[in-house]
Amino acid sequence: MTRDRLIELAKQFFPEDEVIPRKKPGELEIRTTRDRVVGVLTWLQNEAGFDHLMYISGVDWLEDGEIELVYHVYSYDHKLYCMVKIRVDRDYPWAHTIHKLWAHAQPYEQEIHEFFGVYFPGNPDLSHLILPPEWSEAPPLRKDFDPLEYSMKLYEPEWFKSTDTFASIANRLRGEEAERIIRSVLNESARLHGDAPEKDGEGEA
Amino acid sequence: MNREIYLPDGYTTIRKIGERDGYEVYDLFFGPNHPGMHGNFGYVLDMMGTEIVRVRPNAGMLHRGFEKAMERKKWVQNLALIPRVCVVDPDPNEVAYCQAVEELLGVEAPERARYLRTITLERSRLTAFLMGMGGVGGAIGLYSATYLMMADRDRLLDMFEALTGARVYHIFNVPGGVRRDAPEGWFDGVLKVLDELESNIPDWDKLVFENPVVWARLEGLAPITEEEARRGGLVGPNLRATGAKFDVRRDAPYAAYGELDVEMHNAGDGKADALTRAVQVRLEYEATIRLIRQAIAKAKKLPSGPVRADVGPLHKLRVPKGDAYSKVESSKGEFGYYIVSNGGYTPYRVSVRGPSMPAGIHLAKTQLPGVKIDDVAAWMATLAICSPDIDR
Amino acid sequence: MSSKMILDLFGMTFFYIVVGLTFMGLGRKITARLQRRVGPPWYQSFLDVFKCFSKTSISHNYIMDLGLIMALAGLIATAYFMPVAKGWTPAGSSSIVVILYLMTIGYLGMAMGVSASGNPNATIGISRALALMFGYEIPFAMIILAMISVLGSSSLSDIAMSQAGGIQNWNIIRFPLGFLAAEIAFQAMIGEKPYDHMIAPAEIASGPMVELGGKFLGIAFLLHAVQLFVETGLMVNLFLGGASTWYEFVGKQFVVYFTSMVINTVFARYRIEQGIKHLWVWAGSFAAIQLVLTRYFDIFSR
Repeated sequence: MTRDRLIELAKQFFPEDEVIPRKKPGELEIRTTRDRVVGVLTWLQNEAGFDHLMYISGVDWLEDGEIELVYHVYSYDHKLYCMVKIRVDRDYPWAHTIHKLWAHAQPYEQEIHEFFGVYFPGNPDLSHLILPPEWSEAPPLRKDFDPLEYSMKLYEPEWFKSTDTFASIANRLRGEEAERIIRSVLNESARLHGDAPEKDGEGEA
Repeated sequence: MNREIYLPDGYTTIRKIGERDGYEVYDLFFGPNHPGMHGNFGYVLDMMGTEIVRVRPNAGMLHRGFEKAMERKKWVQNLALIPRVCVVDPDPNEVAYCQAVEELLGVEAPERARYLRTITLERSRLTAFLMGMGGVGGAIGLYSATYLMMADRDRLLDMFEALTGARVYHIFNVPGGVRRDAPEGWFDGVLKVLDELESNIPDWDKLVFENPVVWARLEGLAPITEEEARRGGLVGPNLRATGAKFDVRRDAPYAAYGELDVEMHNAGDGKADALTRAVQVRLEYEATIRLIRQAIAKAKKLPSGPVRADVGPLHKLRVPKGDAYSKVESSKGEFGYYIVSNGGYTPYRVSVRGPSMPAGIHLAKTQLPGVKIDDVAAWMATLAICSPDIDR
Repeated sequence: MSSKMILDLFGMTFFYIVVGLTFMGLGRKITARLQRRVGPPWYQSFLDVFKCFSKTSISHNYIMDLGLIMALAGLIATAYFMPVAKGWTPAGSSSIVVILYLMTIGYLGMAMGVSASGNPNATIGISRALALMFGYEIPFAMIILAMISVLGSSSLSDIAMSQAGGIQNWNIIRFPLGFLAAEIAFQAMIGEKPYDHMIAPAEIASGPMVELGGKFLGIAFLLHAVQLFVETGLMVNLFLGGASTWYEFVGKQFVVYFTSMVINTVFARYRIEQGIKHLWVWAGSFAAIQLVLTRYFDIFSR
């Protein structure tokens, strides 16, 4: 089965869903909803020959207030790769379990439950696999979980707070802010070692 | 929550007989502090006598929060983190990540870089196979195999050091290509090391793969059918050992694999037990050596040229909005990186698909019950379960 | 008991331990060289023992203390019955039945000590050791029966002395099948591969050793050292013609140990049930054939 044929069939079976070919040949994307995703995946597995569930990724879209689940499935026979995306509400996130389709989806869902707080009713084991059982914070891979803040709260070393240099550098050390700090550190070391300060726009940082 | 779903057939009967005879089900911690366990991973085994009745994976001791950390670091800084996702076979991570970034950027690595990537990946596979084959020996008490193969691995690491300056975590790939071209005479050095490795193969065969005790231990242990492996998410040598003819390098070629002839070997036909899986690794080990020779022969003829596409200053790299999934065949199977960018200096989300999770978590729960404590380490070693990519 | 005898006993105990620890160090060196490594120096085992005894150690209860000391005492007592040179033993007698009987005290004491620690790995290890004992004691007993039936004496000194006068008189020539069986059983006896089920690091995290630390681990090292002396000594006296001087004895012991270490290096470990089966099928059948040939056909006796 070629990609075009698959897209044609998918559109026929799931007229409400978006079926989009991706940039790379042999890749396509199906955007569907929570209620139809099990149907889409069942069809892909049983009718279209997509044997292999690679992974289920979660993405937290903080601004949209949604969590996206991406099911990566692959067909060994047709050498096609399909990405099935659904979005669930961020405040009450849940999705249907697919561990009856692919048994190894169980740990994947367990992991997403652990790190994004998405519930999968019907999954036999949603206990914490990686986090400690007594974890009471927000699910850690959500965008509003700040690991630095969490560490400060958890450990609270006195020197950490008293000398604000360390904490403030660590706080600022991300994104565009990082560049300025790295630059100043480099300049400082160049001054100490007597080298010329590095020019903008050179290779690696 | 109903945890009893993973109980094997006959568990209730065994338990009843056991209870009538006054046996007790007790917990045994197989790892994290256990010589048979690779890495800080563990299973809590519910045991009766020496037989396992239930398995609870006990992950998290090695969890370093890489996926979260990558969201806070720049695109190029992440290159220092990702090799650590799989310790024994670090290069597939780098290549998968760089390929995903390249796909989003819309650039392509130059030909020389693609060949260098191929050669690095395959040598990394060799080191992992040597560790894997030695690990099978170590799991069943044949420590000589572990030590001897580790010595071979060291030769390969020397060549890595000559190329990249590092022995284990090479950080050789960057978005757009590789960091530097191979130094003068490096290809010949690799060929010399390969000769040495090839001359050692008969010895390893005699020591491990023709050893009657190894056969007695591994034959018939934990069989998996082809259908189970395909549907169960098993990849790489574990899948090919069952007779399935799938290889990312052939099915979705990346780097320079499209121009090379990647051999397909199947140790089993329709079904694979632990011995078949061990032999599969041995077959692929030899095939990998031939593949590197092939790649080097072609790479030597390439005209000199750049090894890195121009993507601008790397520390100011901004990747256009979008998402990409890139996969690479590592020594344990398919390694996938799903990367989402919102156009910033840092990734919006990096999701890592390690090859070990289906086997290490799911298969452990279904296959280990009924197995004796003797075989847990051998089971793990032949399935090449690498705990760092479960706990990443 | 005269003061000379007491001195003898102390001196011999020291001798057993020194020989055993040296063997252990050399064994590690041999293994290392076969595995393309440099290996530790030959005196590494001494350093290990000194270090272990200089540490504080955790005891779970007094049964654990007593069990290990009982094991060490039992094995040292066994060693007193081992003829060293010209059939001389510190104990004055060398009945092989007594030796085989006392040797189990080592394992029983170990079993008592480590089971008291409560770690399931240790318990599995010791249960494997006791199960394996069934595997090797039966072939071994058959061989000894064959020898006793020829010689008419159960004294190890007599068996050793009867082989005097050159290699052609050694039991390794006169009981070739028996030697083969004994060699297989010996491998299980000193717990080397393919029969190192008791300590199986990758399976049960070194078995009985798992809860031993500090001084207890030191005692376990000494235990292994004396055990090596007794078991290699048994092989030398039974098959390699005994010895006329103590250094000849130690030399022969080393040959036995060296062979065992080489076999150890190239083999993996059986499962416990496979191990016992292998011992019964191969060592057992060789020993049985030997017994039948010796007893009823009178082939190998002089």
